[in-house]
Amino acid sequence: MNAGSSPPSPHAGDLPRLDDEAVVSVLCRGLRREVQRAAFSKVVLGLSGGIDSTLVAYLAARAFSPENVLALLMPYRSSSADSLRHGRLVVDALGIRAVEEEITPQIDAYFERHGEADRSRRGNKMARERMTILYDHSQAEGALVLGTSNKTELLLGYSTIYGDSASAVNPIGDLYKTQVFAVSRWLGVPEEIVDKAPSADLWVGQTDEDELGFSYAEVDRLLYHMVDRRERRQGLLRLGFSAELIDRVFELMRRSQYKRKMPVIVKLSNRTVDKDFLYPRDWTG
Amino acid sequence: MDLRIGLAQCDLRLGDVTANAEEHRKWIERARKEGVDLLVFPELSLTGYLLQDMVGDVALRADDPVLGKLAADAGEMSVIAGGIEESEEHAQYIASFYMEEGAVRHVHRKVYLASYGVFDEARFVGAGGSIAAADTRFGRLGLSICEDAWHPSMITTLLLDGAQLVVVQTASPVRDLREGEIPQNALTWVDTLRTYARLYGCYIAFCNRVGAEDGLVFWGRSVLIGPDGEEIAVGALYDEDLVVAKIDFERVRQARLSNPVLRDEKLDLTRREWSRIAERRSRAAGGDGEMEGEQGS
Repeated sequence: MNAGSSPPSPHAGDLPRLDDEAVVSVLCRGLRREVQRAAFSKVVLGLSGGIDSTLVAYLAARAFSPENVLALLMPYRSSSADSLRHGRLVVDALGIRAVEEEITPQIDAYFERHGEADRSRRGNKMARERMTILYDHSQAEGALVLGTSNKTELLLGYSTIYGDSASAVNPIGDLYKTQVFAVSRWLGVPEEIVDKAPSADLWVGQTDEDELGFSYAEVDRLLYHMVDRRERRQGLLRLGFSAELIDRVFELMRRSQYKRKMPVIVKLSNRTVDKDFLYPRDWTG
Repeated sequence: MDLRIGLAQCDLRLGDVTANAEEHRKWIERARKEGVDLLVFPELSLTGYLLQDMVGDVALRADDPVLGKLAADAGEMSVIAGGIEESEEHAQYIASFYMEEGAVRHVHRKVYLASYGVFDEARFVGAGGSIAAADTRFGRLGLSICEDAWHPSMITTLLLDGAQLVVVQTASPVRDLREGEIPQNALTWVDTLRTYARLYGCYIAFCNRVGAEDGLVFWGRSVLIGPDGEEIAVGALYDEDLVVAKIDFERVRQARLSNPVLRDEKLDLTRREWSRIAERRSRAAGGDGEMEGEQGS
């Protein structure tokens, strides 16, 4: 079933067209199993009103019953009005539980003492403030924190370390942004959420594609060939990607590797955490 | 001779041999009600897959009471379970334990370890050094574990050694999901196994687990493939399932009469040529020309 999605693309250079139903089935199974293994039955996520967290909310509502899904809506005073409205729309559509926690007071209190901070610092602080609230509710509710970072963001490092990138289980981390759109459409996410320009909404008028300087459609195709297909530079040029884009994206990926790894530990002993003390995350069985 | 085979497409608890052995007993009871003669569990069914440094904690000697009790509880049913075997020298292997009449009768150690992509087996366990069919009450039986079966030479060897049924235990996770419901790697598995079965005229019993470990979702879809390459019985995608089907070895005879590939294998010629090639490859790799096969196993 491919309700609402386009037919397979004939272009050889495109991302493969996924079977949305199969994707949802695998993601929901993975989610259920990992949450259950961590001995949790509830999940909590930050719902921004954007497409990524909306998709995670839809998947969570499918994987668990809606009353076991808690969405936190955490606006700042400069957040777009649409963000909160779209968040509420999703909560109502799915019948999941929601808590609104405005972060303006604590953010403003902090930056009263750091008036010189630029918008990037402010944005990162907001992302981390939201993370601490998520983890507080996680503990209070006995609910596991779900991540909402897609594969494009993870590879480009387009996230705040220990902010929006922090979670226990991330069901969408192996979907490129354009695949997030497709699966969201299939799941019936409201059009106005799917169609709006993606934004971290950390300052007024911010959009991902402006900030990054390329479109998701373009960079997803490039990342697919570079990462998944292991195409070398020469092959990428033959596929029609510009040298400038290839080099820029590769550098973004390389420079953000630290965001995808545990902190570096200087080895002294015979067995060192994350080096030769190796256990799966699901050690608990 | 006929036999009823069961494929226990189960989920398991990572690192918990006691709990998994208990689950095995439930599957054995369930299979008994279905008249199963030979029950196959997936790769590492007693331990779970992503063991890493747990390997030493879950390792069993072939005469371990856990296996003995399981074999005893199976009664007249023969059982193939998966686990980590520890040798007398304290090396660990991914192993298939063939149990019959109350004891482990044959152990196959995984020869081809998967150490690429999401797999990292060779870091944690040793590679088996033997490929041989086992004598069972059902005749000669070939045991293989996952990556083993991606090597046609392995399957060919088991069949030349007399196997008419090759068992493949796996823990295969979703990899490369694209168009369609079934992941690409699952399609490749089925294509490969059907080709072996059709080419050699044999049965292939493929038992894959379900569940998930660290985000790897195992896809199940265990299958019994017949000597014409047909899927005789297929398990559910992603869900637990007991697949039961009949094996009629007369069909192996029929298939081999019409397609005598195995009969016509030129073993001596192949051995000579492989020796020559092994020597040439060894020289190309900077070795002294000594043959790979003679370095002992």
